[in-house]
Amino acid sequence: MENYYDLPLLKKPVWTWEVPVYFFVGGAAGAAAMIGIAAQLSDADKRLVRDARWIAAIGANLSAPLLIADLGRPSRFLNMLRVFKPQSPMSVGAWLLAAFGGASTAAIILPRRSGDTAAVASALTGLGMATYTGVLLGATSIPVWSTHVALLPVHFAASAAGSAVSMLELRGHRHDGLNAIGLAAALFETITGARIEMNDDLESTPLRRGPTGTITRIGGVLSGPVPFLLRLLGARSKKTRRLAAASTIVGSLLTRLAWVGAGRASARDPRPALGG
Amino acid sequence: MSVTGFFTDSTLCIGCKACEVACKEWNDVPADGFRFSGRSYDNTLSLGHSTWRHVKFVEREPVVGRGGNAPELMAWEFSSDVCKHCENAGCLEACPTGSIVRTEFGGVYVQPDVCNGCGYCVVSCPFGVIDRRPDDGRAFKCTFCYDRQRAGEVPACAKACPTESILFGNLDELQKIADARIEKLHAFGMTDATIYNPKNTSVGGTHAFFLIRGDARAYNLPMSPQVPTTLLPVAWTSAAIAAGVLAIGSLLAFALSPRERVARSAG
Repeated sequence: MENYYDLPLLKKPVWTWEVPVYFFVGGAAGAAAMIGIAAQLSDADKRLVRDARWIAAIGANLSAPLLIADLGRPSRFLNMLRVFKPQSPMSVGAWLLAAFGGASTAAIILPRRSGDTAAVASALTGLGMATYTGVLLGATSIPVWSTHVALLPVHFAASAAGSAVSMLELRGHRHDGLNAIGLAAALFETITGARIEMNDDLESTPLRRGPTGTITRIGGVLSGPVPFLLRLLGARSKKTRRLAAASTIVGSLLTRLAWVGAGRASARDPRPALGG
Repeated sequence: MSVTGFFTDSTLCIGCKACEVACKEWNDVPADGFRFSGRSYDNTLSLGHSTWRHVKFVEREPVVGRGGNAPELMAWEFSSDVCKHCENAGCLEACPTGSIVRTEFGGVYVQPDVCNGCGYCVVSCPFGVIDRRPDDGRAFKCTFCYDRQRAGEVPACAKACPTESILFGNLDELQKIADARIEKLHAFGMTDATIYNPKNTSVGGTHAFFLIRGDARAYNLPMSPQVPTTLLPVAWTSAAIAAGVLAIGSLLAFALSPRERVARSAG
């Protein structure tokens, strides 16, 4: 196929490790806020509700520094809130994070009723936190991301939900609701991993080949089939559930690193972007 | 103020790179490496944060009857690339700070005093033009010589071009010139000459367009560039479904599960 000396057409993403780590932390925090509300409404253990709120708040307060560190001009981070542009997922995300940060922090600081109200706001914006990063990657010119635009938000949400329940389980909680959410997330991640393996389109090559392919595969196995089987077969064993939780967290983090890495690899290949 | 454009005619380009030099000089663009690439006379390789005009050297197999070259000679074409200043610009849509704006001349301009270097424009350009300058931290690309245009001047590259391969002017006028040029070249027998201006894509046409020969991909120009905002409906629908499933799933998972079987046992 004709191209220009095999040189890349597109520019590779400039984001460093902070951004995929943020995808993981922010997503898990967002899902934790939702799980906290679900636990509260079902009258679950108060300590579970409290821990979910803390995970949301800590995650939110780690997210902002991660994103600011990745800016080319960190001192200008407030320019992110200079305008609101619905057509820019980055702008929507900046406002979402600002709202989620405020609400999730208020949910652990404010007493009783006002804390509960903040927790509801935190859960609503948390749902955005768990999903918008998929939009952020999908709606770009990078072929491996844009070809999976419909998958990414759901994939990241499943990954976030899996991580959030796993963090709560590692804190010692053993509610069956957590296991059910973990099981559903792991099942979705198993199917997603299998679909990626079966894709043989040019755009998806970085998800199957090279270093990014390897990380995608390891991340997929650790957050998909491994926790799925462990949760299905060993739900009653504390040790097994802890193992499933640890595997999910590592897998979820690797998955985000793999997707951003795959974006870099994708930008290097001129063929899918040139089309034909 | 009328919408201005660049019409870059590769059949008139002699590969002198005066446009690259004039652009660097006028815009005070820093040097970005002195490497030997081995790819024809092109050591610059691509547009980028510190290359706003870039002359491509397209070497091809000799094609007998390809006008302008003796049959025994390798076809060698030059084309000066530049930011396309898209009608629907991916970088402009993506910019979360409002740093990237549309000027009164229709060009796409990055306000350097606003850009915070988030890098989202970089992955939103379907032509791989804009990039973040590592030592500066902000994103840079062709300004369409906004400062010169405001003073009623021609952009530096067009001014320096010795063969008028780069024409600057009113966009509609340039279209007419381009159409007449294509007609003339076809009459000469140069039937592979075409205009590259992706009007039938979501980009909606570009304010910098090109006359090239044969396959656009040989010039590293995409066949069907798309502005990423067209993906937003699918992306947000997916996000809404994911958020809904996560919310309802979490509520159901807890509502249908018995209480914690064992109280929290470890800290």
